Amino acid sequence: MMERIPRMFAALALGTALLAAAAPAFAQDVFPPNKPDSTELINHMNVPGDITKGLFWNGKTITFHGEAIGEVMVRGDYAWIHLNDDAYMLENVEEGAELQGYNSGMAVWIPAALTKQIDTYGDYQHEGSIVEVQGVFNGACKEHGGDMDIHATALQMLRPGHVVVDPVPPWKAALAVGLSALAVLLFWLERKYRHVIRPNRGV
Amino acid sequence: MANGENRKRVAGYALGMVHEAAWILGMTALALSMAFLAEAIWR
Amino acid sequence: MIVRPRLDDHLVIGKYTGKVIVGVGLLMIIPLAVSLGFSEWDTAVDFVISIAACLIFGSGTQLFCRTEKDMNWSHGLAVASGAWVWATALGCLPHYLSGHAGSYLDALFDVMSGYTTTGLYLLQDLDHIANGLNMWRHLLTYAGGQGIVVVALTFLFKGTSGAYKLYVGEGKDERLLPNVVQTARAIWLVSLTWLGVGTLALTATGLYLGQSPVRAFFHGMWVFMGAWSTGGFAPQSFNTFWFHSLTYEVVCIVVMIAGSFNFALHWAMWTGDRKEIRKNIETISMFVTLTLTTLIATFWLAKANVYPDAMSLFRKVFYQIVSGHTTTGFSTIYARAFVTQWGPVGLVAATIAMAIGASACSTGGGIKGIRMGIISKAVLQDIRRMISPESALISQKYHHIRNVWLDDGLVRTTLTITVAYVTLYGVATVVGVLCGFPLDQAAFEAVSAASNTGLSCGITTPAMPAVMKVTYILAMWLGRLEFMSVFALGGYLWSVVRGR
Repeated sequence: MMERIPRMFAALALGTALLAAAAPAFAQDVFPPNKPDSTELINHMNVPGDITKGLFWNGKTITFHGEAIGEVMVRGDYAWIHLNDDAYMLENVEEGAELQGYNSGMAVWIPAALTKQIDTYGDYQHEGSIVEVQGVFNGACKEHGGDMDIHATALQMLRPGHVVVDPVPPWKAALAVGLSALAVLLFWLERKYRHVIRPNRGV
Repeated sequence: MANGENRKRVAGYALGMVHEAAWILGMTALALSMAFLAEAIWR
Repeated sequence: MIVRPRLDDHLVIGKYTGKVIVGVGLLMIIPLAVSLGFSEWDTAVDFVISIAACLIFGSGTQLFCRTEKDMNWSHGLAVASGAWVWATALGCLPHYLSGHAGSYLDALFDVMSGYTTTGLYLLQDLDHIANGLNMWRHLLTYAGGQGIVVVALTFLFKGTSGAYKLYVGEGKDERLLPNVVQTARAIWLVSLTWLGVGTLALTATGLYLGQSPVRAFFHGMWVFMGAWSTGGFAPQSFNTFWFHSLTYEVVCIVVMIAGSFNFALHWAMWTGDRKEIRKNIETISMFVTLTLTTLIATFWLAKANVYPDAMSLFRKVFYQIVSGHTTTGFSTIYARAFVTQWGPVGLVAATIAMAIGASACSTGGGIKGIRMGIISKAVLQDIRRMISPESALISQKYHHIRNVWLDDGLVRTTLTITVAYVTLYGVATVVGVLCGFPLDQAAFEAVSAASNTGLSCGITTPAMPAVMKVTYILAMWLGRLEFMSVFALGGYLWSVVRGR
């Protein structure tokens, strides 16, 4: 009986070590940066400062990869997906990604059948699949009310998504308990002494 | 009696909301016609 | 001579500030429940800590500031503006603890932006934040739209003495009903009814657009809250561009404009005076300025040939301009597209729309329609005076719920506040220019912050200099409270230091 406890600890330690080893593995996946990336698609003008000359990548066929985020919205035979090619594409903040600014990505209009390969869409509890699409970039799409989008014709899965765990750190739990106790105490005291007012304090 | 008055009041609220929405959709229609006008002029 | 406040004065201010902060803490129970429902444990603990902090502050100040003294005007104003500071400092704990804010300052920025219904944000990796935190972001913007003091007024204050002073301190001065607490409840009736109808409409649209029921509901509710409060937050970093749908955009336009209406107008419409919407000075003013700014932007962008056809021109231009004019801040284009696709004229048209802003006593910001209307009428009156014989008596009236005669005192206060807004726009712009941004973009962003709009042309980022973050926080605060109560708080602090 007594022997079991150290063994349990050992197993726990091993488990933690394995988890720790597994977590950074996500971050080590390397994908060459998009050319062009979403920032360049939005910003690169044919003639800087002259909007009449249009966006540089408008109408060009591009290859673009990113984390599938949120959800797929199927509209008939086609669907909308959103791919983020930002700093949180490989792992999110809960897994230890450094804060490096806003999200950045592109909306993709794609045959709905192709989206079946995507197993996970990114949110708080998930890191979405990383997929690559090929298609035409539209600075202001005629079919979609002027939206900036990519009309994709092909999709490849680069990396499946995974579940993200966000454990409660012990200090936070302790802080929550301590502060709650103090709050309840003060709340109770305030109710009890609400009408006890020293004479010089009233008017 | 009170019930009938209540129903009348709620109907008034609903009608008020519909009026507001109609005014806004009118503005939206105006903007749409502006867009078509602008297109017709410049292209 | 400045009179140093007595102990009594501190006690009154402390007591009522404490009450408002308890209200903020209780409000956090809603996002806590959402977190628990989605098993977001870490986020739930963040909310427990934050609720406890609010209760400790609120109960603590009430415990130490026991008094039966009533509020006077300067107390009311100081409480209103001071409560906003504390509500921000404590309300940003969930943001800070989530790990998505680059610093405590960034968290403050986001929450001030939320309460003031601005909509600029500095949270990073928004696409991976918890549902609970999203609920809080949108709830605080919804509560801030009605006014956090109004929230407290409705639920926490028993008497009405002093309540009106708080209500005015928060930048609202209409009495829909004789009693201020009844007025606060009427405001809630309008807001909650719209919340129900609007959420239903957006949820149904979301389902039709291919969202799952749970996501459609939450997105519908959050987008409604962002639109109605003219806040501009949305659950995804793509903002309302996420939905790619004309229907969704039109519903948003209806909610944004309805949210920018004066609550007195809503109330008049709802209680039978349905001609009010055509006669009211604010709707007329909005009709004129919204038409003009849309016209400028539409013709300019049509000429520049940025959008391929009339439909996309309408969808992009009208949506962004309405979003700016109602001071919401939703967008269906990328922030940088204001620079790379709209160009200087588009930027200026949107800036003018934002500067003018929504109606008074609404959830919106900016100079406000009623002031534009009064100033136009006053100019008209002056011109008529000039061309009339000296002996003629030229009087002018305007219609807001009832007919009101213009007098010089009214014009003067109107101009004072308008000048204050223009100065604030100017100062915030200069800070942007000094930090190295081009003038048109700095003006766009400064006006966006000070008019509580929240459209961005890409200047507001977590990497922005701290001095600009602080400037924008102050601009949002001053703009939302319409200066007076902030000045009153300043006067109070000054009298503590220098009074005798």
